[in-house]
Amino acid sequence: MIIKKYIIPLFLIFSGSSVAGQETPVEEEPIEPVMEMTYLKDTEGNINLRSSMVNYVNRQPVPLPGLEIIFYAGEDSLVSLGSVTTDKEGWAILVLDEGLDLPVGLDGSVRYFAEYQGTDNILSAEYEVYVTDVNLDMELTLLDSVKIVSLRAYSLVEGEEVPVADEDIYVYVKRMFSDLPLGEDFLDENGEFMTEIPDDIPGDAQGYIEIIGRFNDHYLFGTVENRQTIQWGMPTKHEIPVSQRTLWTQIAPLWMVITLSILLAGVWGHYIFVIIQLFRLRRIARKEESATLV
Amino acid sequence: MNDIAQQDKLLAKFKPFLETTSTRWYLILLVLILIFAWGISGLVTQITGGHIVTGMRDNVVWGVYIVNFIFFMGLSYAGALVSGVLHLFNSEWRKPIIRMAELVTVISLMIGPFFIFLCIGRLDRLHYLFIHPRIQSPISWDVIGITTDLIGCFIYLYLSFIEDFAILRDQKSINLPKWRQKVYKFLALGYTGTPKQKKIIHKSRTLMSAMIIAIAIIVYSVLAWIFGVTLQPGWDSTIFGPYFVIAAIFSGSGLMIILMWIFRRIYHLEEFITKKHFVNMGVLLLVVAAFYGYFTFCDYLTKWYGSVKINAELIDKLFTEFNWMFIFANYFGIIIPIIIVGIPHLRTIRNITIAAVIAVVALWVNRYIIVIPTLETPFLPIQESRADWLSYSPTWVEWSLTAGGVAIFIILFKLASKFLPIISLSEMSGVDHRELKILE
Repeated sequence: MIIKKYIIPLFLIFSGSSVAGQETPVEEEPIEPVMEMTYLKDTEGNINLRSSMVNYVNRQPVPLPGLEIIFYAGEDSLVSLGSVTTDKEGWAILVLDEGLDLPVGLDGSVRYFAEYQGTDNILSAEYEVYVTDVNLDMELTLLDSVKIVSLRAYSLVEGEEVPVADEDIYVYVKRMFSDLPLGEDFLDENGEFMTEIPDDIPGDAQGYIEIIGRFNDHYLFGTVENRQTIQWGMPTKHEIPVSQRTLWTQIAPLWMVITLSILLAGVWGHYIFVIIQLFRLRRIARKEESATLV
Repeated sequence: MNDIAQQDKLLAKFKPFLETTSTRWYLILLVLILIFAWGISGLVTQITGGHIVTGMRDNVVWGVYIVNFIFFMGLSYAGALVSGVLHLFNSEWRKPIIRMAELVTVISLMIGPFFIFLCIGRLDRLHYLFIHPRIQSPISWDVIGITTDLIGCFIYLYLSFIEDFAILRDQKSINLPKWRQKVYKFLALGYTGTPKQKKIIHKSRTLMSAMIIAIAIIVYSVLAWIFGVTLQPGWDSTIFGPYFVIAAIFSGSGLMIILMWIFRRIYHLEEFITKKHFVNMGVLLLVVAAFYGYFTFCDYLTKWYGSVKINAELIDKLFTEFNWMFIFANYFGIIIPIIIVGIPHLRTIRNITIAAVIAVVALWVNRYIIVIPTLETPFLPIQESRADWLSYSPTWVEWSLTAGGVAIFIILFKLASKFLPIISLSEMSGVDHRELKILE
């Protein structure tokens, strides 16, 4: 009766749960990487193609290092630009020297194309960006003690400079963590923009600051920037106060020396007194001994 | 019973132990020496192999050695406090147990500092502490404090021995080897018990007992400040000084009870060490346990309530990885002695001794969970290092040296009790303060 009522149902429950708990071999699915690519033209006119490869696990990006990314330019006939292996952060950065002859499309833009060819474990991935080449000049001038940043943007069409008008441009000062925006506006019809730099920007010990003019992830031009370092900031002095509490101070605080001296003098004074008493004890014993003998 | 009769009775009691040495005594000594030798082998391994043979690494730089150091120092200060207070207040019941308290003080103080030497990576630079002392460093305070305390405790112990040396020098009932008689004679300083000599001894002892109480409190607070003045989670606490002092008295009273039980059994001292002594010491243990529990609660409550990230991490670690140790040290170790001594029905000699054993072991564990989890909770996450560098676990070398330390403590206690009766002859037959006042 007991067997029927309790043991069999219990057995069924446990056997059922143990069967359910058994893991069936699951074939590991290949990783589906997510690729992105950004374009940056730096002060020297070098083009930086930055491609990232990540795998999303629980909605968190996990970098995929050691993957070979091949970069191309062009639409129909691709020109190979080179290949770079992703680093531990999942980045592959290809730097193209200025003046490289790249296939330009009908609208004046260049198609940059990055590709990962894939393996059995990681699926292939690709990414493309269309960028119109633009140049950004920056001039720093001091007019009646006013610090002026002048930016001029133009593109080259058959060797002729064509101003870039009505596009959004930014001016920053480089800081430790992120760049500090100082000005933002649309370029005028000459492709120019001017802004002032405040006098109270903290610089390094000599007052140097790095000023950045930039098209910031622009829909046509990507990121194009011009950086210049100039002595326009306030020199900063880092005086580190020496705390009296610290163990590396040269001299101990006076109160500590006095307290310790009083304590030690008090304690050792008593010790010496007691030791003298012990000698007195022996002297008394000797006196009494000699008195008894006499 | 008059004083001389009491003294003779005690001498008769200790005669077999002072005169002859039993095979059992030698056997126990042999076992202890073997344990100590195991410790020495651990020491040799550490000296030849370096600190890599221990569980200590760059992150957890202190391990069982520092725990033992704090523990033994605590026992010592507790012994000093108990003997000093009992002497100052002239408690009648103190007489049979005061010698034990004095011996605990000195022997623990001799062993404790050795454990700190074992932690030091460059022992060859130890003398720099004396050549280039920095008064502002708590380590320097500790060196000065421990040295001062050790010398003070030796003087105090010697003062309490002089009268006994004189008794043993003058007695005729026990056959002692000549060398021992000579030693007693030399150490007795010609004491014959004249009123003047008695007065000197009494005055000096009273003075030194007051001194060692003060020094014990200061030096153990200094030891606590080595932890308290740092900004480490779990250590940076304003109550660490008094907390350590209370904890020391807690463990010391526990150890006193254990020693009373052991010597009562070995020397059949039922007549001298009675249930009253156990109950009195048990009540001291209870009161101190209550204070100790209160301090522990205050310390952890404020840390927990503050919700500082690093403290939260530490408390989380204490309640997960060190869960059982935490429960044993801070729950069982406090509550069980309170229950056993607090309920009159449970107050038997055996139960009080069990409570004392729990208290002493719990306090050692408490020291462990003060030191190790904090060092395993660094402010900055440590990257690219092996897991065993972050988590400390003692190796056989550390256990062997710990066992060696305990063995040498017992050996020294055995030798001391072989050289002098474990109950002070002069205390049991001596004059009290009132008598001395009349003499003055």
